[in-house]
Amino acid sequence: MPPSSDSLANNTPPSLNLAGKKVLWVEDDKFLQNIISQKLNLVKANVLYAKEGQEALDLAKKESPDLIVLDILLPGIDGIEVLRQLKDNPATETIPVIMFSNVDDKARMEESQKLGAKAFFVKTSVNMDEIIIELSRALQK
Amino acid sequence: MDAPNKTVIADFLSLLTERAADFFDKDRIFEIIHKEAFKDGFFGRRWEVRPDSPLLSDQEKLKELTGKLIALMASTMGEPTMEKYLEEIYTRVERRHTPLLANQSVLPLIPSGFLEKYRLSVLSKEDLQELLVQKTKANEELQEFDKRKTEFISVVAHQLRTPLSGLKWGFDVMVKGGYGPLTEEQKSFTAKAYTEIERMIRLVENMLSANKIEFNVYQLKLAPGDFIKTVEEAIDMNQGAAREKGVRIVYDKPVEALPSFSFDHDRVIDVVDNLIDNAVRYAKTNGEVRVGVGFSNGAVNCIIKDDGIGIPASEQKEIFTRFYRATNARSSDPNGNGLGLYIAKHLVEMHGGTIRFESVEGQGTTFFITLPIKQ
Repeated sequence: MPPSSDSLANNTPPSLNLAGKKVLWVEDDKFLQNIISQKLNLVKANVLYAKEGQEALDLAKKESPDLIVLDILLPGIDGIEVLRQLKDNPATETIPVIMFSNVDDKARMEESQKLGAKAFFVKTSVNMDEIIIELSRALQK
Repeated sequence: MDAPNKTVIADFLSLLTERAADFFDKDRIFEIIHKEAFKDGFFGRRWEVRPDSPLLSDQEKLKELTGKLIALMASTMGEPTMEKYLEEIYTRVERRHTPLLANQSVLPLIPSGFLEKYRLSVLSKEDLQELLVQKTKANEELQEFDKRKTEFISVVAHQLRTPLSGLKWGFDVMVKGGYGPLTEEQKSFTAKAYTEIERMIRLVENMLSANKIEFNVYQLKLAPGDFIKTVEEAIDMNQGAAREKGVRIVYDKPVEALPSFSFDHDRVIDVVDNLIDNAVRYAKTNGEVRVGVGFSNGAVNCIIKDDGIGIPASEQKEIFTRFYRATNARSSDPNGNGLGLYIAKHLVEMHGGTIRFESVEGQGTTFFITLPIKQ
């Protein structure tokens, strides 16, 4: 169903508000980054970007984001390995992580869950509003 | 070649030429097997090969001429009939001379492709081993091919998902004014583009699902849920398309609540959505689709009925086959990948349920789904 032009960002219920939250988004596709940036700016989230795994790990240590959204297929180390290292590091182990990928094979989903990811989404299965809802949920847990 | 074998071969050739004589005159037969190979005169059997004929001492020549005669006969009567005649002749030779002699003497003369089922029994241990190795290798190659095909489909589908997510999110933000206000025309265009992208995403997801089902790697995510609500969601998803076509979706909500039970909500929505989508697609313009939900005999059931084109009787047994679309469906609507019902059937059966239909061409189709309640 096509999105309604009435469901703008400022209609997001307060309990699901991301305003002021620091979100580290790990995504190597520039086009997707632009769109995410557009949407998260509308909800007044503070967005940091990393386009590859090591950059993500460094930023996570330095900035202590409230939430990390992690793609799996990344240049260099992949998202599963990034998740493993985040959870192995006391400085970053408590940061909630959502896996967000177009690769959804059973093995990787199970591995993500085992390593402590809060959720796993296939990019094509969610629209932008649903993404905001899921990010907010992950922060509330 | 020893005497008993020549007798066996002579007997076989006699029977074969006797059969050939039903289709060809003697001159035609003599062109292949010279008349001197046969006994003179027409007493006893008409066609009797002499056991002392020099032809029977030349295995290569014998094989060549037998092959020619069989080929001639097969070209007239067809290979299946030829196979039948050869089998009749062969079993007669077996009875007269023992199966072992028949195997050793006659089978080497028969062209490949005929009497194959008799050949294995006379293979030596070494031949059997060789055959086993060949078949194992062929099987491994097929498995490797299947594996690569699965990987290819997976890679293609995953690679398609990335640009599709970008397009979906981009149009999503655009239609909501995220890139500035749009004119009505732009909103309408963007909304249509979004619908088309969703359609393409569904196609990719269907391909991936069909792939997973084929290789038995599909996993359900079971959780307690509200089946009525799930069906209602699927109905909502199709209201837009129904309105465009003037089709009314009539919902027969159950009077009593259904027991809660565990099912894969997303997959069951896919199933019901697919059936309602089909019903709307093939319903008469300004027609009706009826959706009903109930509970009986320990199972929830869902009925989706339309008044549309129906499924031709001759094609009904194929309807759950992967990629199959009935001819009238294809001409009514060329868009469709033929995966929906294949996936629906597997998803329902993975829940331990059943799916069946009743259909009359030109009058409509009713699908019946049942899902057992497992606490």
